[in-house]
Amino acid sequence: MKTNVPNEAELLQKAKQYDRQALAQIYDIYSPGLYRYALRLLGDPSQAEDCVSETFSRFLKSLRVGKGPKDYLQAYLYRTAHNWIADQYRRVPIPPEELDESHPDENELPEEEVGKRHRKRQLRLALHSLTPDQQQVIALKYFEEWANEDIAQALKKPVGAVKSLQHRALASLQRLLEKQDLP
Amino acid sequence: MNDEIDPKLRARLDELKDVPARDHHAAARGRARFLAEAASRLAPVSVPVKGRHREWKTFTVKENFAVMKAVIAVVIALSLLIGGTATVYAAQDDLPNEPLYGLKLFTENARLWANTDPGMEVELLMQFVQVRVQEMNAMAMERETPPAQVTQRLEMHIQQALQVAAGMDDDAMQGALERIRTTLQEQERLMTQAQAQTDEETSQAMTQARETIENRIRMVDEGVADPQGFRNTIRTEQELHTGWTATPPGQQGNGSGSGTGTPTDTGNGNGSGSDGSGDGSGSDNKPGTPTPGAGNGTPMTVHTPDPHGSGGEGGNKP
Repeated sequence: MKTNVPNEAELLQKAKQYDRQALAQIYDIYSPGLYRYALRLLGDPSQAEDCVSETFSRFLKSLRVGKGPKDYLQAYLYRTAHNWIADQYRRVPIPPEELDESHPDENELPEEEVGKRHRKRQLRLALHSLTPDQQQVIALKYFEEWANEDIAQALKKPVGAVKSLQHRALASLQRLLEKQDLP
Repeated sequence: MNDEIDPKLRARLDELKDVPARDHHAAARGRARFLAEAASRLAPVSVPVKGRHREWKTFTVKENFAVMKAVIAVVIALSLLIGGTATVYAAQDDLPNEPLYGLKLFTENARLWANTDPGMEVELLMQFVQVRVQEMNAMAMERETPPAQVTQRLEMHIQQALQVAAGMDDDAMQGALERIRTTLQEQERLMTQAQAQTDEETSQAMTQARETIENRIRMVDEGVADPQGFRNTIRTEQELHTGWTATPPGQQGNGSGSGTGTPTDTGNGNGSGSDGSGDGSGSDNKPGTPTPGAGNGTPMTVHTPDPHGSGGEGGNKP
């Protein structure tokens, strides 16, 4: 669900004036969600940290040159994070999931854990076969549970276009996953 | 078009929703990195002076500030008059075994002295850490063992930077600690490289410095994760050092300095600087200014007093 920050505009204004407290507050409010968002799509905690780091770094760079978001800061940050993730996948393919020693559910057999991770990887691969806009619509709608209006702000597209993207994305995703499930 | 989705697909997507909790330390490091980047990338942000650590400053009262600046200006002007700009410039490349090294330390002291911003103080101290490591590495390459004063001064720079950081507010402290950690990690790496190419005796001397750096990196890591615990540790260390150096005025022996000197004062040193020996018998705990040529010893408040030092503890007089 989109984080509701009543004073987002004020925070953004202060950040543009290089107010350290405001910048810290922005980081504290948005970085946990961005991290989860990146982790869901990337599947790797260290890459997710890199994504958060690079997103905020790009935010600072844009402030420095007098650009950056005029409003809808959260939408801007998620858009930036998603661009980074898309770039990342263009450069490096999704690594195979490895079962480390600390698998999260101790009641779960290692083979079940491996199966679960394999399914997640397949889903990520399918997601990354979509166009970047389609990926972002799916991720924001179904992982982050944003409303279409908020997604429209993040993508800088009309709500109707978002719905259309969502429809096509779901159809493509369904097709891709069915193909994966074939023996 | 509507938001309907096949329940199976929905269930499949939900599998990705559940993610493990974020690593606390990684999150703290990321935050610190962001704030450090903000501090360096954006226009200067005022840092509250209130609460800043002032243990090293001899002039601590605002009313004395103008006097201090004037004194520094006169001292710098005199040094330039005597030595000339070219000399000061030339001194910057000198190693501890070279004649203008004392002048090099003096200019460092003067820069620290004239600075009033805690963030900049940390920045300067990290620059000086780099300079000390460069000196040690350069000497090691020539198979010469760096003098103990260089290691001590390196330790003092790091310690002072940590103290300044501990006096900052949480956000600024995180940024400062990140800056310190980055510098120390890089310098430790450079020292390791240099150490591999030198002889055993020199290598041993460098090991001590590297251990100090590694120890301080650990301290910084702890500070990032637990700011209040870090402040307590620094405070405890300060109290210990204050205890060591709280010798009543006028009772100092030949080697150690008075307890309230600043790192910008001259050290407890072996005394001889670029233009003579440190004159200071002064141990009156009064504010002082950096004195050219007052030796390359270490300041007095950070480390265990050196009973073997002789003279040169001056600089405690305004």
